[in-house]
Amino acid sequence: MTPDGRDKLMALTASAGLLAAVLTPIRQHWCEAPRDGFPLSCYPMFTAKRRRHGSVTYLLGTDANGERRLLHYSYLGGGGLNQVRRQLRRIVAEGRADEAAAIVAAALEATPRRRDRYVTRVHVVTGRYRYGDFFAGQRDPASEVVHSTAAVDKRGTLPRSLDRQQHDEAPANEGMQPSG
Amino acid sequence: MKRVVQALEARVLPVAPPVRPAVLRLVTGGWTAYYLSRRVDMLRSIHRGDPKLFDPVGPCRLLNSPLPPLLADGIIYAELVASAAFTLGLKHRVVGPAHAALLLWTMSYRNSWSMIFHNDNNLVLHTAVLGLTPTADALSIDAIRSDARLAPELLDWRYGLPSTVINAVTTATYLVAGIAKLKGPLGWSWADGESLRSQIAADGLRKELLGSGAAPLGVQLYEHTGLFRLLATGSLALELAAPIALLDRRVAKAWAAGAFGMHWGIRALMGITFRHQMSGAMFASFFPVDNLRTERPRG
Repeated sequence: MTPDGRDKLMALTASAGLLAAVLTPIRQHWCEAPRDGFPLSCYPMFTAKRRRHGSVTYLLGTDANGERRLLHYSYLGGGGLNQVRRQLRRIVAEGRADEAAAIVAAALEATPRRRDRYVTRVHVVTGRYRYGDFFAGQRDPASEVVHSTAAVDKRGTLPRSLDRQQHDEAPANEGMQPSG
Repeated sequence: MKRVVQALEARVLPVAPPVRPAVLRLVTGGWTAYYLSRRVDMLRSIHRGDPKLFDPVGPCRLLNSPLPPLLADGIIYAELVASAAFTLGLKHRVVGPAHAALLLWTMSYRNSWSMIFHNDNNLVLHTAVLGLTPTADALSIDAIRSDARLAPELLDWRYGLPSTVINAVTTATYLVAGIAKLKGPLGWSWADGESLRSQIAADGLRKELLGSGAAPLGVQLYEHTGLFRLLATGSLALELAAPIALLDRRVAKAWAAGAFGMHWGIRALMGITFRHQMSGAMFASFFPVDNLRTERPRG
């Protein structure tokens, strides 16, 4: 074989290897618990079967009058909405919702957005919504579970995590269901 | 038989001038440098995230815990320097593989915090191809240094290979995404549009509740089920038929234009920004990016 032919064979082998590597994650879709990876992915996005309703875990602020205000995900962390959303869901699943509420309360205390400056309490909640109703303007959740609450300390001290009993007594929790 | 082999060789290893991969190096390298430089603050913030949320992927699976933030920051700065040198075509034999490795690490580390983003896969894969092949023999500092010409008049299969491999890799990723939908719980019924509509609704709901706002167009069109059927069928066809783009240059261009449009459509309906795809840089290899007037084969 000529040197050029050998080079061609090597190039083709390497190219085929790369292509095979890119295609290999397909096999994940035949597994019971597919595991995605990077940069060799099985691209599971948009494949889940969804119903007409869905649950989302999010951050809610309330002011002294109990007015509700949705809080921006960036109070909890960086990396974009979807990353923080996933992280928040994982934190709640691991039973660490108190930590998330405390972090958000501290961030609110340190650098509040103008619209959030009257927020006095932070809640980590999971709300269940009907998509059709939501996009038709019905913004209230069909149900809402409160995982944790923290007070925003306006005097510059660290936020104080509240236990469920304290939280249930607060007017801000009207319409919310504490998590079980 | 010999004819078949020759035809196959011409298809897989077409001769091309060095300008062809060089343009891809400039486009992809330039895009990477721009993309990363705009994300330094975000990446630094990720490096200081909750270590309990570290879920390593790719080469980062070698790690049991996150890197010290300053070290992770340093790798980003090193990658920024490497991407600039790669784009300029400086010491490509060393810089090309180094840039590919650093970008692989940087993007894998970025995706190791409980969420895998699928918009950077092709950037990493394309960079690996461009970093490991002779893409700096033209339009580069190396080319000027070696024979004082920006665009040497050569033709060689080594210069045709990168775009062929990049096209194959790109279409393969779309094929995998298409098969994922068919193998999911919905199967072929994914194409009826109801799933896509629900996905857009779920995504919009999350965005509204987490403070960034749903894409207004997706909300306005939510009731138009027929439109979502059309979009779902079109996008699924585009993904499953992606390998056909490798058979013909005109089909390749049409497919790339379709995929480019699909990502802009996703942006309009869902507010999800696939930056590399939407920039067009990802599809540059599907279009003629060189002038094939040169005739002398190398060697």
